[in-house]
Amino acid sequence: MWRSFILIVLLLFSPVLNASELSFSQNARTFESQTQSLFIKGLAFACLNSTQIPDDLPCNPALLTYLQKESLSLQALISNGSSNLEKIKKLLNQSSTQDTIDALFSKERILQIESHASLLFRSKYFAAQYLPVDIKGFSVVRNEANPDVEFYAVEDKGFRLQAAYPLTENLTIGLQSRLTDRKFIRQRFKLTDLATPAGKNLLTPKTYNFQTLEPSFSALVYQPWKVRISMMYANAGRYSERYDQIDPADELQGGISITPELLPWGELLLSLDYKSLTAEDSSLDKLHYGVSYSFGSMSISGGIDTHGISSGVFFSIQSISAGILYTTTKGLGDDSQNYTQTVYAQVGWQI
Amino acid sequence: MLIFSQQKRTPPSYLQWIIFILCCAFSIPSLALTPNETESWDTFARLMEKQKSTDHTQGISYIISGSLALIGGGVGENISSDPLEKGVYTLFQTMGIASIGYGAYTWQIGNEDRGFYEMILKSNLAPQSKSEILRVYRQSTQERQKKERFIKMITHGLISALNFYSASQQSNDSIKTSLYFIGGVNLLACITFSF
Repeated sequence: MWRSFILIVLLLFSPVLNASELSFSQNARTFESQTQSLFIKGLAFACLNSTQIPDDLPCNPALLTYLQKESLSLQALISNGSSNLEKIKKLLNQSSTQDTIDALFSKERILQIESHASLLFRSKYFAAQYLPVDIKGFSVVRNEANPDVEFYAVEDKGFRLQAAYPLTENLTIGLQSRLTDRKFIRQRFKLTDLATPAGKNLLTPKTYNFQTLEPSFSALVYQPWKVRISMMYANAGRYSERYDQIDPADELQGGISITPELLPWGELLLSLDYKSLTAEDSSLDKLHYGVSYSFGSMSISGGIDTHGISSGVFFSIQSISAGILYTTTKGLGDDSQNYTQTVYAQVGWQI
Repeated sequence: MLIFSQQKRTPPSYLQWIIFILCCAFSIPSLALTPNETESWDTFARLMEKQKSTDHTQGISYIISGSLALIGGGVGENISSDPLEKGVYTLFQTMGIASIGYGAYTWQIGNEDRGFYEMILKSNLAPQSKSEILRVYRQSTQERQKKERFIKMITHGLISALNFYSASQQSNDSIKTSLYFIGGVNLLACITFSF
């Protein structure tokens, strides 16, 4: 069974090697509609079966029952490109000037930023997250003669609530609800369009809110190596406005994981998820492969999908935690010069 | 559904629902583990030997991972030029030292039960006397835990009340909601400790 799993993984790798060129205009682990912690980004979002996520609520609410103790904590994450944070905020608040526009689109070819802070409460049957600030921005300018700009900026605020209930020793069910206010800009345009009267509205943000209700379950199907299967019906709910270019459609997400007993100490988890991270994901883009190893105060995560590769380390001791994550859109064996590299840093404090 | 209330002095309606759901979800009495007063010394000794083995494994894990954090943080800080990365690597080193200390403590010292066990083990008491002392120790531990729960209930209740009051006086929406969130969670903890 172990050999079959490796074969499946190797078969999945070959499309990733070729897909890196398509992912040039995107960051590997920052997406408009996703707000996840550093550890989950490290896993390439293959987290539907992760029972121990040290810095966030479980991706699958049914796994809350595996939490060992209650906690209230504050987590803050920021990526490189933090100097652009104020410019993105000004644009979203419609208080930008010509200098801001020039700084965003003329001086830098690629611009990116993700920054969010959240309050997390976790317990065995209930969890809640308050997100007072979550800002993401990405811009790429091509063609020096007549610049084309691809740009998005998103600001989210809201809550995420989770509840779980164990039906049997190996089967749990859960429910997640997200209550979010969103403000965003997502455009592709020629830089010269900004000077025209019609172009002035290109950078006007749109606002809307949504409330989702997402049921899930998780089942431990094979005790040796803890083979686990989980499913979740995601993104279903009420939207005040639906923007298909930013909101992934309602979908059934699934994942499988194993915890092989290969190492005498620590816990190794291998997981494979099938889920959308953007509204434009193809079937191949929905496959995410993640690996994590937890040992003492250290957790290492790594992940690969068509968006890119990520690898990070997270430390947590008593009430302090910190982590760092490296991501790239460059595939394995890819010699292309067009790729985006991002470094994320996160600190946390247990209150 | 309005996400943020228009009124400045009352909590948003969705937040009231969240606090209500929190209270309902945790109205189930907590299943606090209470020590078994009739536990024999032999059973306790077996548990403690197992605990010592777990402490040994866990302690070594924390020492090794802490050492990796210390070394990795030092290397990363020297290699990196970004001030944010340097700051995180410095934090890694600090956490590495804390992790080594915590690991050593867990391995060599452990918890209160283990300290009691090692103390009694060194004595020349008869097994019956050991069981009697164990019974008194458990009784005493239970009484202390009751007092501890009462004090935690009062503390979390006061923190909750303070945060709710501060939130009602706050004009900034984000800070107001954060304070209501912290107040709600502490109210939940207060209710939990009251059982």
